[in-house]
Amino acid sequence: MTSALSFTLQQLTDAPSASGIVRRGTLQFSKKAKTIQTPACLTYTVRGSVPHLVAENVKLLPVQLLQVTLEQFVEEKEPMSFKYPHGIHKYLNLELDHLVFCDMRDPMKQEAVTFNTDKYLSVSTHGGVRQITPEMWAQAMKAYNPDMCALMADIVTDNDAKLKRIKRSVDRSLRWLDDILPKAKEIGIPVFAPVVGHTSEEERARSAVSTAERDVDGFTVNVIGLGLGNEATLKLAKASLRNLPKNKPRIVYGFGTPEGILDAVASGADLFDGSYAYKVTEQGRAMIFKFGEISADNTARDKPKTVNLWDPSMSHSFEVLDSTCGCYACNASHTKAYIHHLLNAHEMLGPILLMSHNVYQLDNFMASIRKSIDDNRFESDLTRFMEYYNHVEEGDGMRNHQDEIDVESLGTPLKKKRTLLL
Amino acid sequence: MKSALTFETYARCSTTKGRASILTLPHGPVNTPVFMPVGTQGTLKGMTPQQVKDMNCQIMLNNTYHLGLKPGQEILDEAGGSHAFQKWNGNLLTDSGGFQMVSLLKLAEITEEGVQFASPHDGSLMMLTPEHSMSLQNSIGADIMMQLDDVISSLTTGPRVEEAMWRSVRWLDRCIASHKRQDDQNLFAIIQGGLDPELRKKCVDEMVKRNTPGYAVGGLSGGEEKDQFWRIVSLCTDLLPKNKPIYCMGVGYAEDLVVCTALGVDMFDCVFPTRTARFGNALTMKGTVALKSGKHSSNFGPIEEGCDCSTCKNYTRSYIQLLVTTKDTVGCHLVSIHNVAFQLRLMREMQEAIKRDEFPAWIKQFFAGYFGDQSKYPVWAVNALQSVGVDLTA
Repeated sequence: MTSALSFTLQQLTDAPSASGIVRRGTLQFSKKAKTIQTPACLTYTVRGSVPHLVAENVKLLPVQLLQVTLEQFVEEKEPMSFKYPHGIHKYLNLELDHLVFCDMRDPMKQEAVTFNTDKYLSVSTHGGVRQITPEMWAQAMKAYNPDMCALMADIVTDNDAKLKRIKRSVDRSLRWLDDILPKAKEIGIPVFAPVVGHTSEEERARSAVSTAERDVDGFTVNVIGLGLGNEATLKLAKASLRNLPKNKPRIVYGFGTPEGILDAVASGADLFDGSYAYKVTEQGRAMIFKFGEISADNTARDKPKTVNLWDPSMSHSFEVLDSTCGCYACNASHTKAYIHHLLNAHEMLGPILLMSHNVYQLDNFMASIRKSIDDNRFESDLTRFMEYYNHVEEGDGMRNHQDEIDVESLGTPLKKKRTLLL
Repeated sequence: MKSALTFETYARCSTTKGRASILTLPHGPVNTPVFMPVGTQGTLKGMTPQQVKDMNCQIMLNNTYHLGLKPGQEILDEAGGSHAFQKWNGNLLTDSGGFQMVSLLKLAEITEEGVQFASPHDGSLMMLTPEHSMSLQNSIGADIMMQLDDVISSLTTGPRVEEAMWRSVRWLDRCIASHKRQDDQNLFAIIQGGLDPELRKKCVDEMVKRNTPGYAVGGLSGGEEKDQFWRIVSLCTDLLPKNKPIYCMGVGYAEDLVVCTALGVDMFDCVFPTRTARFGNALTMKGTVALKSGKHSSNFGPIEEGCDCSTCKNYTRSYIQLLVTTKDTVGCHLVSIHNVAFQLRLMREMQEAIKRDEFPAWIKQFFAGYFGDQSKYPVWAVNALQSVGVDLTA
């Protein structure tokens, strides 16, 4: 581990439990004297900004560690952000104490692009397909100077990939790792190595074991868009996670829902992408679920986790989204009726208020999980959560988070008629 | 009629007709000359009320026609008015819905009774009468309300112009009769009469008799020749009572604001700054900056040096360019914030120049900076300023 980043596990419950191995840790950034408590969500950004929110809005939110996606900056032949002399934090106008994690591809949706080769990783930009080479990677990280970064990963995006392709992706990612790691050490930024393996448990194990042999600071595990059910996806994630060293942090992509996050926490994940907050916002919904606050004698069941602000019944509702919430929208007492009106009138303030609320709530959710682990009640809180809330259908009939996964989307705002009309 | 405002002019330009005043309304004081950004549907596009307040915006617009459709009068009543609905504690001004008669003309049918609109959303019919407009505006609760006027396109000629002028007078009377909140909402009359000075004079004569708290010059800013536009504005400011605020509706571009201020106008509104922001165009004292252009991607300076808005203090043209070309809403917001701040800064500079009685000099340096070459100065502006003693060519 570099001196800039250290990870401490505060609690290791090795005792066999129904759900697995739950981890509670702290990520220390010595250069900035900042600490991130885990499990936590990285704040999701598109082209470096929290969707819909400008710095003044973000300042009011508990944002600490943001995920910046390199592929969203490399449309130009010579990306201008590489030439900016003051680093990515200043370029994106982040607060002094915000931390940045830079990875290659959008963690919300991995759009299939053309093939990768040993020499480059193909990525998708607003102007078409581009290539990220190890040289470009180094150039970017040197210019950006993020607080932590991920290495290039050969992620298979073809759901029908054969084993041969999967094996190649493991080998190629390792070759890239070995090629880039010295450059990364030179630049001095903590690196997270990708653990790949697609739909093969064996290859995932192999990738994890081999990657763990290298001197890296953490790992990313990717289970996005595999097209399998929750159980099968979790099984694959576990195949990666259980073969990784306990003392290093693990970021997992692809568990975008509250249930998914809880499953992954119970399987040994430390960090997640925060794209769920964005997905919920784009549906015009607000998160209202809580973790760890449901008492044992509460017999209510099938409660909805989100509120649909598009619902006509909202037009007469003059309460805030959540009276216990500290986001800008709730603090300023913006009503459901007003937010409903904004969505209905295609006004941009609607998504701004919802995004503020959902980022806050997602952070709150993670904080509750941490508290629950600290207080040794994670197992029981998890059971209560699964009993209390409906996990298949939302109050207005949305099933299985179905419209939360838009196959056409690429991390750019979903172009649905009802969302934004400028 | 009753007035729920005070208007105190504390400085007059000794050359032009420009004046700096304080307009005190139920939701607080407003420094004039003032530019009022337009928050049509109960929101200033992409900005939270806190952000708008932080920019020292004292008054903004809401639109009666649009709010009448969405969310509708019932919800507004339930919410306790538009201030409470959108959580804006500053001043509001509502247009009557009259302008939509011109802008949505294909959908409107005008009679003595009122204007019948077909909703652009679902085709349903809505009858906007002076009484209904007042009722809606009373529900919205804006500090300043506009009469329902018979608005015609400024390019219209013939008897329709005079018909519209007289009807506006009659509708003003109907508005006054049905205005139920004279204690805390100020009704402004709107001078019509097209581009005909005689009609305008008659209209001013009649409407001044009704003694409303303020007056607007309407029916302009619709594509007419600018050289005719300024003459009508100047005529109206000459004729209207000097102790009341004068509002020129639908104005406008920076040079329009400067010239009309010199002609004696106190209040302005226009969708232009916020609308052009959404197309990636930023307004500066040196002209418009089209941020979508690739040439800005390498510019690590702010949109405008010396601008103290949050966008310019914190963001580079390079990053904004990336956002606006990809249509990120954040890009829209950043430029909107700058453009509104620009408009407010422009007005503040004029207020201060008038206060120091250095307005003519300020006007000259503004034009020099904004247009560069004297040959680029709009002729109409040169003429208009000449009429009030400012020679841009000197």
